[in-house]
Amino acid sequence: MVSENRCMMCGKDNPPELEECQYCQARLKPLIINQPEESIDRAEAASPIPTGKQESDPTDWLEDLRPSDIEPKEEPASDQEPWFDNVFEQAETDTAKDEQDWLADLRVDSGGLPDLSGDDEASWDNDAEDSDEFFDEQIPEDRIPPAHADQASPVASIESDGHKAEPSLDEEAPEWLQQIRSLHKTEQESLLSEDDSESEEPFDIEWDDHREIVEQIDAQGAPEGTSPIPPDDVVPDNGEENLAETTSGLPDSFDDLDLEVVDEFPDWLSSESKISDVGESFDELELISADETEDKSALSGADDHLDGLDGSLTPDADTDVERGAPEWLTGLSVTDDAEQGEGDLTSSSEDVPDWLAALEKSTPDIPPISFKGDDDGADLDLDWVEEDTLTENILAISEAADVLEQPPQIDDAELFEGELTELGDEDFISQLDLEESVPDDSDAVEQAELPIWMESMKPVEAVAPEIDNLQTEESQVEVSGPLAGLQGVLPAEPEIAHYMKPAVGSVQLNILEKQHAQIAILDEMIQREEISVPIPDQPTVTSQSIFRVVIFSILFAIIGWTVFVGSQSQPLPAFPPEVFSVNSVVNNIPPGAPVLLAVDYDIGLSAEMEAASAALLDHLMIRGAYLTIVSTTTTGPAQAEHLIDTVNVLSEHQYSNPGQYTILGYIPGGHSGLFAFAQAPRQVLPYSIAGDHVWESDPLAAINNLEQFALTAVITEDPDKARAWIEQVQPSLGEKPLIMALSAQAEPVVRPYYDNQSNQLQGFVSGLAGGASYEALLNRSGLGRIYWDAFTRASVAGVVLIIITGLVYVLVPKMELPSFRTQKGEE
Amino acid sequence: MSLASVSFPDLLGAVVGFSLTLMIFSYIIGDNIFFRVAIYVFIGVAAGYAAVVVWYNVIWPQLFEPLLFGSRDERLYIIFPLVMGVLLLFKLSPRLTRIGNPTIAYLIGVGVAVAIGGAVIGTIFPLVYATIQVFNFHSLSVGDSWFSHLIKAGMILVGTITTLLYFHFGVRSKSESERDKPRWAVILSWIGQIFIGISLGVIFAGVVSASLTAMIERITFLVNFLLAIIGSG
Repeated sequence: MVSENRCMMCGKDNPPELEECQYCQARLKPLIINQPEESIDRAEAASPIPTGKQESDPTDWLEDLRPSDIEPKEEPASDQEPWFDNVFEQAETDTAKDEQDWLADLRVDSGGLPDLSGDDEASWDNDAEDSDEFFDEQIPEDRIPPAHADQASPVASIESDGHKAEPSLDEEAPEWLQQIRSLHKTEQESLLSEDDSESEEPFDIEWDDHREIVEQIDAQGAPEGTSPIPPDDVVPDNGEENLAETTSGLPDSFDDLDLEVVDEFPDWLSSESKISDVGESFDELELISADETEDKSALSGADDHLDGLDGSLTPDADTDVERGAPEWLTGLSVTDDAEQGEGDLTSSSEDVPDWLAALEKSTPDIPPISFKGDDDGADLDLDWVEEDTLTENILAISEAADVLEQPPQIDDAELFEGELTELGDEDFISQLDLEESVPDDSDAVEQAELPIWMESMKPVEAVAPEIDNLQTEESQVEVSGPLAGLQGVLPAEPEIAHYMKPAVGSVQLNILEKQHAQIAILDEMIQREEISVPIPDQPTVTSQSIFRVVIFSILFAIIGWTVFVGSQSQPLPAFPPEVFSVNSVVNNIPPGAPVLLAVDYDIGLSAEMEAASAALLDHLMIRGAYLTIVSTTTTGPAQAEHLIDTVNVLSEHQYSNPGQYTILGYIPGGHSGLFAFAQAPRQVLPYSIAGDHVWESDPLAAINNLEQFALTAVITEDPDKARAWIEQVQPSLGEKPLIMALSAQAEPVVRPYYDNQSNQLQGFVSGLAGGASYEALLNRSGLGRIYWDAFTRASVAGVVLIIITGLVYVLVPKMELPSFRTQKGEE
Repeated sequence: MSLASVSFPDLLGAVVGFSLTLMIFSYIIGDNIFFRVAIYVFIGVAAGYAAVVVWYNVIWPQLFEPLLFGSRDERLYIIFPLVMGVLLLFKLSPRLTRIGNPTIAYLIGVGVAVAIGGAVIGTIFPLVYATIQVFNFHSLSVGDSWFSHLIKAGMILVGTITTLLYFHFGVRSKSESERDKPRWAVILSWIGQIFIGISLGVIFAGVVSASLTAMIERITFLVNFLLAIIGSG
């Protein structure tokens, strides 16, 4: 049991004695309709926050209908009266005639309430006529709707007006009321068709049938002027008899009625206490006024009604009470309110409480109770009700409806369920569907099936959800302005003005297990590629090493044997023209003339160069030439010394430095140095390598340029060096000859300089063959003679080996010999 | 020759030479430490000798001696190479290497100019002239037939042109597989490849000859040394 009032606006609990919420200043208790106008106005003006309390409780009329012998149940802790108790109370307070007007309209021309028994229609008509007289006295003609001016019965007028006003009422009457009307109409038609009733009014109030209940309610002591039931004195005496007659055939209780709805009527319709509770539960019917701007303060205490439902409510054992409200009552409960015109007393079908929805489902014949814009509305014409009366009543009802717009709190629903359980109607409870109806989304767009790869791209829940913001917004309660206390209100200031932490996007992917497996497979494949597969060790002895050893052995054996034996039987080669030219040139130099000798060969090929140049040097020494030795390599002077010594030994000469030759040294700068030396030899090499001033003594004292040298001989193995001497130095020589001693590998490049008509090179000696031929020309023995036999035999062996190995490399792969395998890391 | 007639330095030199020769020949069985030692000794000795020659033959007599003992004119003459030489030393520092760029630029500029000038004047012009002169039948020597001379000249001309065409890559190709080259150019390039192949073969033969001669010389040394030792023993 909730002993505190819960504010409908902020949702906080407040002490029960408070009328206004201590947190948000919203009213906790609705204002009663029959309150003095000052209080009403004060409530309306001072309390913009809907308190959930109704200023006027439109359910007072229902309360007035309670039987007099029924003990009033303990009222709930809250002072809240059922909303519907105050409806007619408010109406009656304003205008007594208005009450009578609606009551008059309720009467049917045919005689009032539908005659269930079918036999008492005539009596009812009589009663109706009698009662018409009463109502005619009470209701001025000007208050009687013109359409029903000929009708004495307010009920009939209501009925007739209901027909006429149906189009307008349909828009204003709540849906549940309209449903009741239509249901009643259907039943009435069925009954009247049997009885051949003259009444065409869809609405027929059978006063006789429910007279007992009406008397009980009247005996309860309804507020003055609030009871819609005419006083007893108005009711003709024969009405009782007629009532007894008419009710003789009536079932004693609603349970006996063959109406499905009876069994499923909520208990609030069958007992006094329940009526009050029903009045509170009607709050959950979520009556929504068409004019939603009406003051909802009266409805703020809807939950308070539910909160007041505690265990003190006991099931009513009185079977009479369990009859439930008559159909006219259920139809009246909202009809009068709807007739007041203002506001739309309908409420959304979605706001129908679950117990009522269940009620609707079980009564297919009964049109569903709709509370909002239901066009199946009632047929009653409530125009005769004064507008102001209707206004206030509707206001109260709309306030209650507005409150009921809010979905009932779960706890409240559960509480309500519990209370219903306590009321004893477990079957009814079991049929209730307290859960909010799930909108039928069968017509919704079928959710597409995303492919796996797309689904995996959806971020996981780690993303800062926008739902939080939405939830925050939904739970945000407006604290200022005319909408203070309401939830879910659109903010006054734009959302953009609110600083919110930007949503954190998640980069995580929703990876499926299947994808995990695929990733593992791909990763394994990649790792295999990265892993270097070790090549199996190959035998260290490969074909290349074998051939190397074999070839060396063969050549070493041939050469060694030839040298060891000292064979010189092979004839020397014939001298070529270039060698002859050299010979001629050297023969033409004057004896003792200075000769420029350039020693520019690499130390690794000194053996061949010495063999090629020894004969030339020997010839120059024979001619007595003064050798001026220069070099463009740093090791040139040393090589020159060794060459001179070798020739001295082999040719038996005594050339010495500085007498017969001099070594000027190293010429730096490559091509630039040669060019400089060619232009100014004294400046480039002012001293000898020993530091002597050779340019100051004979024979170099008279030499100022290279043209004054009798001959220029270059000994080189590099074709580039040979070309450099030809390009840089030869133009400075003038008519003086230039000869060379070349390596066999440089001959193809240098020969064009000899063969061309420009006569840049007067002759050259190429390789061991050239030297040997030059020795043959000189008829002298030298290194050529010593090496020639070994050279020829080794050359032949080399040629043979080249041919054999070439054949082997061509033929062996086809034979697939296993020994020919590539060694690891080689080749 | 006997060891007794050989002086000790010569004998020591012979022994060292003999050892180094065998160490070089050990490369036959593969790369080994003896071969590497011999190579390192050779490089070291050559570098040391080169350094001494450069100092005694270039730096001292042409730079420091005139600077220290020369006349004023000689000193003035030395300032420019001295400054350039000092700037060149900054090339040793990665941070200050840009200071030596002027010297490098001077050396490269002069060297390229000399090389290009010499190539043009000393090689291109004379050889082109010589190629043309081949067809000058007035230069025929006595005994030479004009037909053989013509064949010779033709071969020279064809070889020259086809070789140059082979090294011409100025044709744009639409794709790697397609080449927008005339068929006649393709044929001539193929002929040029023949001449180039022949030339490279001759050069290779010369290299083999030179290597064989070096081998003969070393083996002769080894044999003579052994014979000298054996003979003396």
